[in-house]
Amino acid sequence: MMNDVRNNVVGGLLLFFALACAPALVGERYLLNEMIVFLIWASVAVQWNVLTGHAGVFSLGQMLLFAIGAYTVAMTNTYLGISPWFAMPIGATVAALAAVLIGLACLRLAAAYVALLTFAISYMVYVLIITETECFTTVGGGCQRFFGGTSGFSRIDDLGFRKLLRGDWIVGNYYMILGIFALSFLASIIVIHGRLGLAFRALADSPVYAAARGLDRTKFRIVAFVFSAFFTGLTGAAYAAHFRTAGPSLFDFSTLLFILAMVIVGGLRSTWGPVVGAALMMGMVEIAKDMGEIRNTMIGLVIVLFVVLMPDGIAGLSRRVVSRFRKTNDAKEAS
Amino acid sequence: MEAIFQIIVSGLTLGAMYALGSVGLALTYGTMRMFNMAHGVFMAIGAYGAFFAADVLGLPILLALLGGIVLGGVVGALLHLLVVRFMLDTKDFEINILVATAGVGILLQDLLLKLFGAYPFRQPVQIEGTVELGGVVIPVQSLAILFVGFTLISAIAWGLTRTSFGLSIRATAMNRDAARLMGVNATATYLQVLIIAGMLAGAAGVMISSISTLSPDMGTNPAIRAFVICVVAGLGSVGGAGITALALGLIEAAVQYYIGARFGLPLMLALVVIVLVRRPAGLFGREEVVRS
Amino acid sequence: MADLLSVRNLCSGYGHIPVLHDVSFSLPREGVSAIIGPNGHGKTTLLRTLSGLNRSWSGQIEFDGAPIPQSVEARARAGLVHVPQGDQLFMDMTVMENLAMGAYARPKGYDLQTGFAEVFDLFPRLAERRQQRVSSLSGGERRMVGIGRGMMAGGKLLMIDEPSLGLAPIVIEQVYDALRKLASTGAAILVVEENPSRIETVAERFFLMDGGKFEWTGDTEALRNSSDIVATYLGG
Repeated sequence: MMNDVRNNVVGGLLLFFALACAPALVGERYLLNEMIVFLIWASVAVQWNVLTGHAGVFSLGQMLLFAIGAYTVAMTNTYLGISPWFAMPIGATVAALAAVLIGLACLRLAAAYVALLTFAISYMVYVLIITETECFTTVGGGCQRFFGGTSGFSRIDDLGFRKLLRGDWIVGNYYMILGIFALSFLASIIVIHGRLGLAFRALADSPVYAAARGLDRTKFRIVAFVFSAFFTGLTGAAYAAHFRTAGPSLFDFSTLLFILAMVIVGGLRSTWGPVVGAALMMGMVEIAKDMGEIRNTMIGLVIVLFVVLMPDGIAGLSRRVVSRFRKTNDAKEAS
Repeated sequence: MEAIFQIIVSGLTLGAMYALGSVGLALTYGTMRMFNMAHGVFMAIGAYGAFFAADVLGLPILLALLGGIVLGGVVGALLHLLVVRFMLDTKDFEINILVATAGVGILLQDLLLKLFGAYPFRQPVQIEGTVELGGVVIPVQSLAILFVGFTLISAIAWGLTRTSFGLSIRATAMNRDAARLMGVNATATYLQVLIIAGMLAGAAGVMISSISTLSPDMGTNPAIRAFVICVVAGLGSVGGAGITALALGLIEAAVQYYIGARFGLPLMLALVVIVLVRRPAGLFGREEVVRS
Repeated sequence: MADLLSVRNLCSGYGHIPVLHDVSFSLPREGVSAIIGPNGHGKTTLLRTLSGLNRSWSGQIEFDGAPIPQSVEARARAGLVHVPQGDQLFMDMTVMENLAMGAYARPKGYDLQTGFAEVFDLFPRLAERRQQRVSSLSGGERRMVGIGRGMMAGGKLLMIDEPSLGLAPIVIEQVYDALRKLASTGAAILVVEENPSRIETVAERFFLMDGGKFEWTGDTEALRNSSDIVATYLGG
């Protein structure tokens, strides 16, 4: 088990150093920005995989937790003038607290109920935000609603890299986001291959036996939900800090499905799947940009095709290939 | 007094629409443990189908309504033939089918957007005018919705309890292997159930669009209400979904009247959470919920 | 006339674990046959494989003079009726609805009342409970619904798995009395029963299953004369 953690951490560090070299190689601001987007969604996908693939909680409320992180940064900055640097951990904590409440309300229930309730709760928050009519203050001559209404928040203070690095400010932002991705991914490795992951597997394989050994299923599910909410919220906060905006478009169904596609394509129940899936989906959408408005059609198609034909995703496929390879090798050695 | 009458009329109208939207969803889950995330888009497809039949083909509104319903059924059949059929009896079906139908949903919604654009067309399949009943002015369309809703729901209730076809659906839902031992072709039953659910969703879509407007994502809000109704009733409880739909319609009408439309959904969800804390399998659900 | 059911070299199991090994036997068109033998040696698996609930791995099954169809529902429609272990009733339906489901595969013109009358004649208790949901019935009553539901199909072969399982001795008597009456009509019935003494006076043909094969076959007289063999396998 410890070997598992070590191998994955070493792999993660290699990835981290490769990504850390990217700004030196990638000059274009556009490409660097795309890589930032990749790191953000990959981090959300990694956490979703911990929650659904390993803890067995199928939440459709991940973008709500993401938005809570983003809105916390936006609101504390707009109303209280708090720096995004300080607001990021606050956003992660608020998302985790929200997860405690949602978890207590739903996680005792069966799988389909959890999915539907988390989906309904996100939608409810979305509706409450966009139907807000009263102005809270006026900002720059415009009406600023408390939760931002349909237009959300913009002009969040920048992270300070513009002053420090001038034209290369985006490199600063890139390293900040890379740091958060690394944190999120490292945490997921430790959970998946550590004692918590072992408990999740025990609960999934034999719920009755695990319960008899004193494992409290609901408690572990809530722990997993709060854990993934913390890092999802943190990533959302980083999103708001980088783009300097937060708005109701974060709740778009297509965004939720875009990230779900990353998890499915990469493979639930794996460790590296979501990262690979995120890279593939980002690449696919990039190609789709040249082919007209087919992004959503493609996301839908990819999801359906993978669930029907390859429900274990690319990680499952590679597992099968490796085990077949090993089998043929063993057979060769035997003969 | 007039206020109460007003609330009852609009509550029953809402309830009839919610019932149309949720009964098919409950039937699908009850029979095959499949929760259809594309249900809201099915509603939109039914609504656009009726719109197309009336506005472009110039059919009379009754035929156009029928067209919307039939189109919903066709989409249900296609969903079964192209996707669901291949996933039956696979591992983690309940979760995978949620994901797959969510994918189908975004695919079809995008298709509607490409075909009709985002322009909020008015639904031509509706009856104009108002009538006065007991000092309250009621749109004729509300009565039409009540009529269509109660007719279709009664037809479904009758079919499920009084015909051999309905008996076979309920038998498959209760015990699939035993139903097959009686000679029921379970795969065909699943196809039939998805067609019925699609038709009901189509009807719901036409009705919903008749009191608002058409848009590719018009089904999202009513579908989420239908999800909530099914969860409160207990997933798979068809009768329970109908009763819960009416009750929530009335409650929502009262909330809208006294507090404001914005809080209809939040209060509904608060109610759901309270219900589920007390009864984890829903009001009418009996199935086991994994407890710790 | 050809045999009603003829099985040759049938193998089956669960997952990768084989349970039935090359089972061969045949049944005539009339009379009660019994499969006896200790629990966990493939009796139920054999019935499930015959009705199609378990996939057969290899071997041939001929039913009513033709190779048996593939699917469970097609076999039921061909007249092979399986009353499974543990009843497997439609719990939220009434007694009448359960019985009506039994006749689901019958042709359109079939009058359910005829079938109801036959079942209620055999199990008068069910007539009193006809409008009750089966979830509210006792274990014995449920067993009666299960057998009645099988009768409603009007099939060519009625296979009943452990009709006495989990019932009190007095109720077992009632169930076997009913089976005896049913047998007197000349129907073809195949009963699975662990305890041969219960079925001894009902059946006329016996198959002793052990370790997934038939170790001994014979008629009532042969069974009485072979108490040593039976004792070896059943410890009785």
